[in-house]
Amino acid sequence: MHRPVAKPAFDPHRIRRELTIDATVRGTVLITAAAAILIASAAEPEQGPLTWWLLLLVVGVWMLISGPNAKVVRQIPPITDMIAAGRASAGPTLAAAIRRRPLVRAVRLALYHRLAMLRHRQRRYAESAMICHAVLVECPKLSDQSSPTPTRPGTSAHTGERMRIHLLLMLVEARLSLGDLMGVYVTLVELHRHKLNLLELMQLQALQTRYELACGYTDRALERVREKVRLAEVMPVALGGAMHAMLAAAARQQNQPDLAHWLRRRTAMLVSHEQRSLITGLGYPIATQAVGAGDDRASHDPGDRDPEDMPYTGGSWNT
Amino acid sequence: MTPVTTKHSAPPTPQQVDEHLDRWAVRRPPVATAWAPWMVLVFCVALGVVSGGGWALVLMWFGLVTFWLIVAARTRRFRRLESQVNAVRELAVLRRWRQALRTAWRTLPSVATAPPMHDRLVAMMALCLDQLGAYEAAITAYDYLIDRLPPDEPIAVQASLQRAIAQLADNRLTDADHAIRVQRAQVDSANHPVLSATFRLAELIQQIKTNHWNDAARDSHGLVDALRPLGIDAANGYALAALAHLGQSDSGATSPEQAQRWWRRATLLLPRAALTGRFPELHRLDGLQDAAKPWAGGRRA
Repeated sequence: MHRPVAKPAFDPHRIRRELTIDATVRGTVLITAAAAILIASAAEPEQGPLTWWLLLLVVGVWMLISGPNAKVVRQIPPITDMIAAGRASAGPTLAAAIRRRPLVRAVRLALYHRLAMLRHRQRRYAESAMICHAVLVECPKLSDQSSPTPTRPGTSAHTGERMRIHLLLMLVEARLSLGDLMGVYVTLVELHRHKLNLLELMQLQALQTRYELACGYTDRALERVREKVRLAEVMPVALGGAMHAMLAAAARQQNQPDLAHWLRRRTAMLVSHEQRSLITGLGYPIATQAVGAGDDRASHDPGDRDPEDMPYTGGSWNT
Repeated sequence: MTPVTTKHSAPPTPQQVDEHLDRWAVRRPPVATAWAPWMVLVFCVALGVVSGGGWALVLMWFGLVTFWLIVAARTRRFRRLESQVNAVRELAVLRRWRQALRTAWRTLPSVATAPPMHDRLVAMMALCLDQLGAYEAAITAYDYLIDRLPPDEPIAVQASLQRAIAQLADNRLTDADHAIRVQRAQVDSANHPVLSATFRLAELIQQIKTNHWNDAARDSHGLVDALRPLGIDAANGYALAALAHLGQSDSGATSPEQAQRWWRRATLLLPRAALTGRFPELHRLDGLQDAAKPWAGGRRA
């Protein structure tokens, strides 16, 4: 008996197809405009009105095709905020923006980047990984990755690099959640070639620790543990709590009970019982955390119990 | 520009902060500068339309290219400034207060025409001054920020609470009391964990500063959950709770073990020196044992 074949949630060729359509439409208009300008320049002076009508037509068509682009560019920041706030309207708004065409390549890729963020927040990791990979294939790479020359802030290369790094971070987390450790390794290697800002560095540190725990490299997770703890202290609270919990699990496995105990107690002070359940149940998205944003979930008072006495089940993912 | 502090010098005085903020206050860019590219564009296109053909056409295209170049340069400049502001923020997140303050001080003139970035920089300057113990200067910066922001904005509420904490540290208890009373309703309506936690900390500091230690000890129930959104900075609150319990243990209202328990929680997150540096009254807890550190040099509780 044939089982129905499940339709893939996301077709990775879709991005390439849409980019091609966008490029074709824009290219056609550009060539037409160039031809019109040439005709206008070559026209006899007595054909003046015709020339100007031709040029006006080109400008009009150009504005017509630039309209959707301008509209979508204005929509991107609110969409990002909606995704961060977990609003249900993010999906339909994003889908409507993606349907518009023609769009500039960078704008189209930025929209798919937001789609990957949305799926990541929804914990649809298979789809998120697929989108991240498809966008990364289309994203402009650094010209020479062996020379880590930082891109100048304000340039499109800099913006592209930031987007690429965020996609790589999400890809690492998605692959970790899917158990694709080889894929995680390859992505981590690529991430280490980039110059990261502080938030990216924090996320990389947390994801790499999670990878090391998943592989059983608990000794590596505990290398330079004091520096890692210092970094965890300045992370957004929930991310810092997750980092402490992972290090505690590594310390326990490495038979360092004092360190494990100290880290566990700090975890209990930093994150609530509900947050700890999320962390240990892998439901805590690391790659979409923002520095300084705090934690939007209200802290539920579990009564008068001492948090240090609460039952703790840290580190369940690495066993 | 007012000379900025060096690594070993004191933070700027309130007067210096006031002068600096006054000199580099938010301002609109000159109309001519703001509209220059559009005027170039309109002029060139109009010239091209009126004259028709030949040089006029070349001039029109020249105008279009110039317009595009100016807009691109402005966008690049804006993003560069944003990255400078982010650099200040990173320094502040890493608690390099002096370096963050110095960078913010120097960057402020560049962002005078970009109000959101200007506000962020002033907020970070105020925070750095606060953390460096320059409370009067911090209050000056917070005043400037609060006057500029809409009162219901979370950042304005946060700044008001931070100002109240700085006022308490500066022993301006009446001002702080007024600020805390005013902010209570807004914090309740905002329902934001960080704002609620900051408010709770401000209340606790007020209780300690006004010698209402019995209230502070009594209200320490659920303090961990209330202050948790502050991260390791919650340690300041736990340390003050320890002080309140120790003060009350003399009258038998609470036990010294409670004080030791809260102090252990505090030193689990922040070292003793950081806590006593922020609140000198915590030196009264010198007899209490710190939480054990897992590496050499730590003392077992």
